[in-house]
This record gives sequence, structure tokens and C-alpha cells, in this order.
Amino acid sequence: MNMQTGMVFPSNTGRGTKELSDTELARYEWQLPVPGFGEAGQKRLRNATVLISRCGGLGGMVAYELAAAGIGKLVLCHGGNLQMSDLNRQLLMTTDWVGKPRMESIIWRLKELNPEINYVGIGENISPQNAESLIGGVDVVVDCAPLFEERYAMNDACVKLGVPLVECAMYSTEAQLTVFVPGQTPCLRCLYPETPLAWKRRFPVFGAVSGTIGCMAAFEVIKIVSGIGEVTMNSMLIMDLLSMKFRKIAISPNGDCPVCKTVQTEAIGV
Amino acid sequence: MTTKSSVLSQEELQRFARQISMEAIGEKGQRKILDSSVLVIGAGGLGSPICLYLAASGVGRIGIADSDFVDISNLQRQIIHFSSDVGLAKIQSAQNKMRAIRPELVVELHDLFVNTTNIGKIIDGYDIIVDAVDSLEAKFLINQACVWGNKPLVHGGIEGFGGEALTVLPGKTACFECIFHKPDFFVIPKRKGPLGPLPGIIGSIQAMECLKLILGVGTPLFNSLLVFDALAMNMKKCKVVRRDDCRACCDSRPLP
Repeated sequence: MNMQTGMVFPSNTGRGTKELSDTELARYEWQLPVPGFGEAGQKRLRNATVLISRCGGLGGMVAYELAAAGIGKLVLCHGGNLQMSDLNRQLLMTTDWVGKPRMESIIWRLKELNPEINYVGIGENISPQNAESLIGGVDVVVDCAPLFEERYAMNDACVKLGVPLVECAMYSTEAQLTVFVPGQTPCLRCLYPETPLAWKRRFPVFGAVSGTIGCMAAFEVIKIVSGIGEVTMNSMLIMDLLSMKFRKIAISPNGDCPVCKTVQTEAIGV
Repeated sequence: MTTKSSVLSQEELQRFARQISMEAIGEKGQRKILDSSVLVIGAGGLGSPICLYLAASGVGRIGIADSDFVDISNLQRQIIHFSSDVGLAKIQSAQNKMRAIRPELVVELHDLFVNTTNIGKIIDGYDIIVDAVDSLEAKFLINQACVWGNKPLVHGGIEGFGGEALTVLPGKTACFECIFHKPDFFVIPKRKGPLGPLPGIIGSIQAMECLKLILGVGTPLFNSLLVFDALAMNMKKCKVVRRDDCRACCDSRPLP
């Protein structure tokens, strides 16, 4: 990462690519004047590929916002059929789709929102078997999976392939957010060497909480890709929207981390 | 308000299972949400997530006030509207999306921009009023009407990379005008610029504030202005107080 500009991808300048079309200029009219963003920023978004692991309450909102903002290619992973109990928070799902594949509803809604994006729908969740092949060629991964097995598979592949990972999680009215950049920050295994014992598969979720953190994660992706602002690295935002408490804690790599130790060593040139 | 059975139906138990399991909600809390009504003023960047989340979490009746039409330049941040809705009335487009999520929802459309003559009447029928407008003049008007009409107000605003939110209990907590000086006349700035996720963040927080008010749980943003900076991802709360000389909430003038 180029620390001076805050760019995680200094190579994605957006230059040399074709000009924005009239439709793109009209669609993104309100964000093109954003200071530091401009047409170059919009082209960087168009050049980027982002993978979202699980597109439920959290990831669905990330996908929703990134499709609206104009990320060129979205690789969306989510398995299973829509259940009635998803509908209190998963805004890309509709009641008439209950019992049918979630991914079909997600793609259908997103295409209606912004047909200019290249959507790749993967009707399965991330696993150690598919993680590396799915992440190859992707610029940023957003991890919204509820299960630690999926999170570890995603993290390990991102560290190995050098791909930034926007990590967001929630439980009930609480949520947290950070960005892992291989060689620059800790990884998920540095923070959680093992699955926390109390972790449950079906936990309480409130839509407005997943919306808040999902939009924050989408903003982090836009920062990483376009180079504006400060990416939330080496710190974790922790919030509780019931008590309205927000804090940021510093996080640092674990020198003994079995996953990212090699990358850490290479980064400091030892 | 129509009288409904206090028990939740089988479908409601399923649909809201993941929030009924929260200590702060339970079946009783879900009943309160289903019996509540909220008026969202503005069907734009803030109004989009507010309407969608209030609909999804089970608010019984949602009023939506706006008189604008969907334009292609809205779509990068007003996520309730799709490409296929360009040219359609925003309130109609919003209703379609909300009812696709929850067909039982009662939506009331107010095809208007709020002004001094119509506001008192339209806020009257709702438990909570949400300020999701982009005009500063309308924000002062909504605040004043809520204070005079004794309606809880959830305010939200965005500009550039920043956003804010405040919840007002008229006569009890600081109102919008206690904090911000109301100018004698309003200059309408033609400033563009929010990246889409910013109104998404503030709007989601406003939806959360509504639900806390409905449920009577947690700590709403009373006497506390939430200030958010998206560039640094900083969220701060500023303590604010009622002003004795606030012309909106401490004046005993009668209603117009």
C-alpha cells in the first residue's frame, strides 16, 4: 500500500480506460463532484471486482450500496433458499420468493437497481474448497459470513493471495468493523486464533443494525478502491446501537499467527 | 387504529423470529412494533433505508411524504428506487419496494412537499415523525411542527462526508432549533456530493432510533447529537441541552 496517498491499489488509477458514458455521467452525477473522487474515482470503481461472502442482512446491504455506487463487477456468494425469517432484515429479498434460491432474488433486485454492473452469482457459501479459486482475480473481499469456518477460509485465502478483506460482524444490536490488509495489519486469525466458544449459528439480528454496519463496510470498499479517506486499518470500530456506544480499539498482528506470519516477515523485509 | 389481536400469527412469529429472540423485543415488543405508525418525510437518500428497515421490522403503518419523481441521478444513493422506476413518483416507487418485502404493511402516500399549511395535518395521525428531507428550511419546519404537535421526532442530516442524527421528545429534550440557529431566510445551496453509503448509515441509525422509541428500550439520542465522519469512520456524541430562549420549543405561542 502506498502510505502517502492511502491507496491500497495505486496501480488502479482509472486512467487509460474508456471515458464514462452519458448514462454513467447521469447516474453518478451526484458523486462525481465529491472531493478527491471525480471521474477518475468513478473509473476506479468501474475497474474493480469485489467479492461479498454471504449476501444476507449484512452482505446484502453491502451489495446493494456497491451496485448503486458503480463497482464494475460484483461476485456474490450465498447459498440456500429464502426463508420467511430472513425478511426482517434482508432487503434484497421479497416475500413472493420464499422457498426459492436466495441468489436469484439478489441478482434480480440488483439488476433492476443498476443493470450496468457485471453480477456473478455463486449459489453457495465460502468453504476451504472454493475460497482460493473464487478470490483469484478479485480486488477486495467483504466478509459477512456468520460462521467462523467460512470466515477462516476467506481470511486464509486473502492472506495467501494478498487481497484486502473488509471484515464486518454483528450480534443483536452490536456490530464491529475493520479492514485486514495482508502484510500491513493483523489478520482474522491474529485476533481469533480459534472459534469463540459461545458462537451460535442462529443469533438475534435487527435489520437497522445490519444496515448501519453494511453501509459502513461498503464505504470502506469505496475508500480502498478509490483512494479517498482513511481506511479503517489496525483499528476496529465497535458499536452498540441500543446503548449508542461507539469506540475504536487498536489491533495489532500476532507474531505467532500461523496464517500471516510469513506475510508479516516478508513485509518488513527480513 | 384498528384493534388487532394481541397474539402474533404463525407467519409473524416466523417472519420476525430473529428479532423476537432479542431480549429487548420479545413477542410483546413485536406486538408494539406491529401496532405502531411512523411518518417518513422525504423519500430520498435517508428515506430509502428508513422506509425499508421500518417495513422489514414490522411497523404497522408507514406514511411517506414527497412529491418528487425518480431521476437516474438519484439511484446512486436513494436505494429504494431502481432503474426501472425512473419517471415514477418516488412515493409510489417506495411503496412498491416496501410491500414487496412485507405485503401486509399499510402504506399511506402523501403526495406533497411539507409547508406551513399542510404539515400540522399530516403529522397528526402518526406516533413518530422522521425528518429525512434535504432542505434546511423544511428541517426547521418539521421540528417546529413536531414540538407544537407534541410528536417525537427523529432527525437526520448529511453533508459531504459527514452526517448527524438527533431524537427529540418535545418539551422534554433539546430540539433541532435549540442546537441550530434558524436563519431569517434560507439560501438554497446546490451542493451535490454524498457517496451512497453515507445516507445509508444515517438512515439506518434513524430507523433504529424509531424502533427504540416504539419499544421504549435502550438509549435514544435524547440531548445527544450524533456526529459521524465517514472519511475517518468516526462516530461521536455531543451532549446538547434545551435552550430557555429557543423559539421553537420554549415559546408559548399558540398553534398557527
